[in-house]
Amino acid sequence: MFESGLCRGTERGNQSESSRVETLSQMFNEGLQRDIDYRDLMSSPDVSMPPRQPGLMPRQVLVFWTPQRALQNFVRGLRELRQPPRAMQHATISVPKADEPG
Amino acid sequence: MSRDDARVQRWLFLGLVLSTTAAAATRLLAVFRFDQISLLDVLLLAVFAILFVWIATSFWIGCLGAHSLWRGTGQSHSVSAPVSTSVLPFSASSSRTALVMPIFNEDVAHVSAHLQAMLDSLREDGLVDRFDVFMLSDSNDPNRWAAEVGSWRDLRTTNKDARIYYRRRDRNTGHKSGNIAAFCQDWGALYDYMIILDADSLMTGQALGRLVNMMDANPRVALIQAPPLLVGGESLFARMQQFASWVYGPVYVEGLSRLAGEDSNYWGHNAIIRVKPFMENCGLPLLPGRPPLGGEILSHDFVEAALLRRAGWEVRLAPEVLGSFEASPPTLIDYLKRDRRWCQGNLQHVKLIFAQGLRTPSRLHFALGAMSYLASPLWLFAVVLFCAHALRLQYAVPVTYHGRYPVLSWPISHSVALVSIVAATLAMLFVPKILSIIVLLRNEPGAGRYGGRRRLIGGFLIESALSVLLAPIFMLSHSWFVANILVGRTTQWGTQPRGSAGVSFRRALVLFAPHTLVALIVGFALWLSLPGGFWWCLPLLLGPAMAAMLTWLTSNPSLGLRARRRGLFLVPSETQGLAILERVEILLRGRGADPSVAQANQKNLAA
Repeated sequence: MFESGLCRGTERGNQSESSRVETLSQMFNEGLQRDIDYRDLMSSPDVSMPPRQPGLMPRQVLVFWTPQRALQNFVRGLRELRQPPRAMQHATISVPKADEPG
Repeated sequence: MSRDDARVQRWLFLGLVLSTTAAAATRLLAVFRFDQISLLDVLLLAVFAILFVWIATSFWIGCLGAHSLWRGTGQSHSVSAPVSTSVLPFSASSSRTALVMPIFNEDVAHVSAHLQAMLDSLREDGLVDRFDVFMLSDSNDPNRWAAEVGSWRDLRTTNKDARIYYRRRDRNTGHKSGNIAAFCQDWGALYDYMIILDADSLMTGQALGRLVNMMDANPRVALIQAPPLLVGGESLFARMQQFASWVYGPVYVEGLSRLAGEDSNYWGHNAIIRVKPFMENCGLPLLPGRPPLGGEILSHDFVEAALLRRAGWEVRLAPEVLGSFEASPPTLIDYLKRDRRWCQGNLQHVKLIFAQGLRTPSRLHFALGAMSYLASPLWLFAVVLFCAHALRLQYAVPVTYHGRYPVLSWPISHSVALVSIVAATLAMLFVPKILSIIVLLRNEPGAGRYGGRRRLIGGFLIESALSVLLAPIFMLSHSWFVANILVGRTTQWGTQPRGSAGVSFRRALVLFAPHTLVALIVGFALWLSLPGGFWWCLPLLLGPAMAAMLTWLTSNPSLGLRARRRGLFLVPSETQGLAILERVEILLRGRGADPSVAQANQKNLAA
């Protein structure tokens, strides 16, 4: 299904092989490097993943109730109550007689 | 069940919890009212009421589940149109599903055996080509990483008909949730659903197929949690947890599923997720403040469920999906280590209770999760307050004054009232367990799957006795965790041990020395100052006093094996066999132990 367009099995697909091995070598001490052939790990032709289809996963925003926020909302509500109610302007739509049915 | 019925059920449930609490609190108030009510009494009453709400909630969930299973109406309501037969019309599904297993320095042999067993099970059901398997590694231990690549190659060689992928991140940003989010960002668009697995998850092909079917049939559902049962326990501790999960678990899960309905929760693994809404709504926010209570969200699962609900998607718990399993931590120490991480994650959720736009049931999930840990310091506080109250009464002069004239007042015993309160508390804790046993004994095939009635009841009695001893140890440990978190000490999100090598008595003695000391000092002080109170507190002191011995004994795999041979804590996966688990055991025997695990165990012991 996804075998075409293989890419390497790590997240740094575009990094050169030698630099990745260097990065890894820096991560671990020499004793461990003797035991593991990182070049073998990185260069394996089998290390495949499906071709990427990048998608967004946006970080969600949460707004929290705090005593200050509750107080602010309360004060805002009080202010709105003190303001005079908005005057309502009625729209007048004239309909030409020619459009009237019958 | 219609939405109106569910709403009535929830109000009824709330009424039952509050009225039970009111009844118990009134009884305690009657004791306090006899003398003048002091500030100490008010404080004690408040703590007692909070704790009673907590245990009454658990009690009524258990009763609801037992009622549902007793009437045989259980396991048919969680999702509106589930598939009810074992024959899967799966071929009709064109959905693409990813089996996603995030791993972090895990025992690779274990992970590989679990994946292989699941693939074999899928193959038996003719479903293997319907799933893409992803090993998503965050491992930073080079030995583990090398072993992972090796085992992944082996899996690919052995399963040529399956698509198995391996990806490793250089940095484990965002831990497990970050790992899954990175997968979604790169490959999520390719899939309709993903099934999240833990490293110790085990799901049968039938269960996996059924979850996909249920998602296909319910387009408004974004997440279905298949409740996992514990399997594969070797030590006495793991076997006890396993027994509890099989015997009592279904009743609680059934009750929770009925009550929560579309507002159910996510437990982090063994669940299917609709990828598109997950990607749109579940990018985790950062919490205000600094760790441990602020910053990155650690226990992501509850939050993701709440965010999906906020966006209008349904989250369901599906007890009808059988074939979902996981492993228990092998020892009390491992269990407490896991609790330390979960405690920090769940306490972070307290902030989320006050987030705008979330649904009330999501807030309740957060509150109940946090209470799992906050209950411990509250119990401890309640015990201290009770002792203080008793001390005050003991040293009070039995004289009252009418004007200037002293009148001798005879001391009056409140033992009957106090015993009734303790009995009510114990009933809240044990009645759901007893109901679980009764439901099992009534329904077919019933007790036979647990080794027979005698062994089932024997297991219940021994499990209850061990729980009584272990509960105060948990209380002290959780209280310590909560205190540490509140003073700002954070924890690392590490790896959970999968095998049982036991715990040496010396190590147990060192780790639980504070518990033992606290028990001995408090016991001695009570014996001297409040001999009557000593006997009341003895059940609370016994466990911590013997903590090292209990840990050593319950972690011993050979003792666990002996218990199994004697028929103690038997569960259906052992008496009737469980093909997928047997397959794992065969694979693990064939591959031998992972040397990197042995090294890690050595390091742990040294630490």
